[in-house]
Amino acid sequence: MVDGVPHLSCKTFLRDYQSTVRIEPLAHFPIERDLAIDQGDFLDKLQAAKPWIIADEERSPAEGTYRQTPEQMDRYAQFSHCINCLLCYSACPQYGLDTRFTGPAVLSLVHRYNADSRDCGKEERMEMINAEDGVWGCTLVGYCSEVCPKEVDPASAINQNKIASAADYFLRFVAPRGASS
Amino acid sequence: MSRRRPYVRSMDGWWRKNPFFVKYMLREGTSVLVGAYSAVVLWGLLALSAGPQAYAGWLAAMSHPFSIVFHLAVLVAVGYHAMTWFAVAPKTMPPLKLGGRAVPAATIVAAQYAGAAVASAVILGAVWGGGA
Amino acid sequence: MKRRSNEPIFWGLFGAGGVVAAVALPAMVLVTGLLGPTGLLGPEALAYERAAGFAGHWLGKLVLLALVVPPMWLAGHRIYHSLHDLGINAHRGLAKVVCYGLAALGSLLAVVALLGIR
Repeated sequence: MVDGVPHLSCKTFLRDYQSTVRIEPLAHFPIERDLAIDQGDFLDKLQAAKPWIIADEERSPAEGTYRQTPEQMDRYAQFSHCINCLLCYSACPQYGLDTRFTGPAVLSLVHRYNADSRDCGKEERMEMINAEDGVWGCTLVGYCSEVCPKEVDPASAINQNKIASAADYFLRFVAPRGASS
Repeated sequence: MSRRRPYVRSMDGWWRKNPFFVKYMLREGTSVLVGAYSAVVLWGLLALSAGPQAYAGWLAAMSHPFSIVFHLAVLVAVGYHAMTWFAVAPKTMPPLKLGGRAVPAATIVAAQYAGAAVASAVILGAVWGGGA
Repeated sequence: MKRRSNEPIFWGLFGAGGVVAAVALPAMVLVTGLLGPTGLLGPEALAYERAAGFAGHWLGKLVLLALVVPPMWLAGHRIYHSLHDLGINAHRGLAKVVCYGLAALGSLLAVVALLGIR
């Protein structure tokens, strides 16, 4: 944190500040010591999101690579730029108030995989999205997208998934999961 | 035995420490005045339902200086709500495509203001002069 | 297995309320509070006969319902979540009942009032 704002210190220049600068450990994480924080919670959530291509059928190398049009890549590319820097977690007051909230980066990553045409794991990830501390822990403060150094726009990823989650909630009786491909 | 003692910082007064958060709380706070205004309109509907005398009472209250001040406050609140709502709407939607081209956020924002202008014109027009 | 949240219901109502509040409420506030009472919309703008006539028609009832009810849910939803933002976490369940309960009560009263206008 630089003067109370989440920043990448490697991209923050002293020339942009006045006489003094206040450096603090990333907000909303327990301080281990000095400027080091405990990011265990984030790493657990990252793993729980299943951040890999979940395929319907096994593919062999002989089948070659996946094919994807530029339009298909456009749907998720922005969200794949996340460098797991945790600035968004430091920005997010909902995470600060309750660390059970899944948080911006992980929810963006879930969206990144769900929106990837190669992936078939949306069903498996919906449980994480639909939970109280999934997308519903977000109140669209929007600061996460403000501070993201890679312009991932986590606020957008999360709130697009509110629509998906709501649709899943209301349509689950009309079109039960597993009934269609 | 671990000697770790991770220190968790307090969230007290978190929103007062950053202008971004102050604006967020103001945005959320507009809902109090929106709720109060809903109650006033509900009162009007109930008065209308109760008859001309009750309704006249409500109309008289709407002319009271306190009511004017209250309405001005609600107008400011609902104006800020509208500004922030329209600004954030593009983020809540999947990317829109029209004729193969992506619709820029600014267009979505402008379209909402246009919709609000039309709705306002209809409401004001309906109340003024020839109503239903 | 994480429990599925019931937020979509309240969020949907909040969303509708947000749109109505943003698009229609400014004009409504002008009507009921500023232009109407000062006579700038004409002396008969909010007259009983006109108002009752509009609300007497089923279409008028629907319009009024759409204008009055959704913002109640916007308010209930935001106030409930703001309590948490302000660090007020005691009696979360009660807070939810009060915030959404008042919105529900207001909605019910609006329906009753409108049905009572012939």
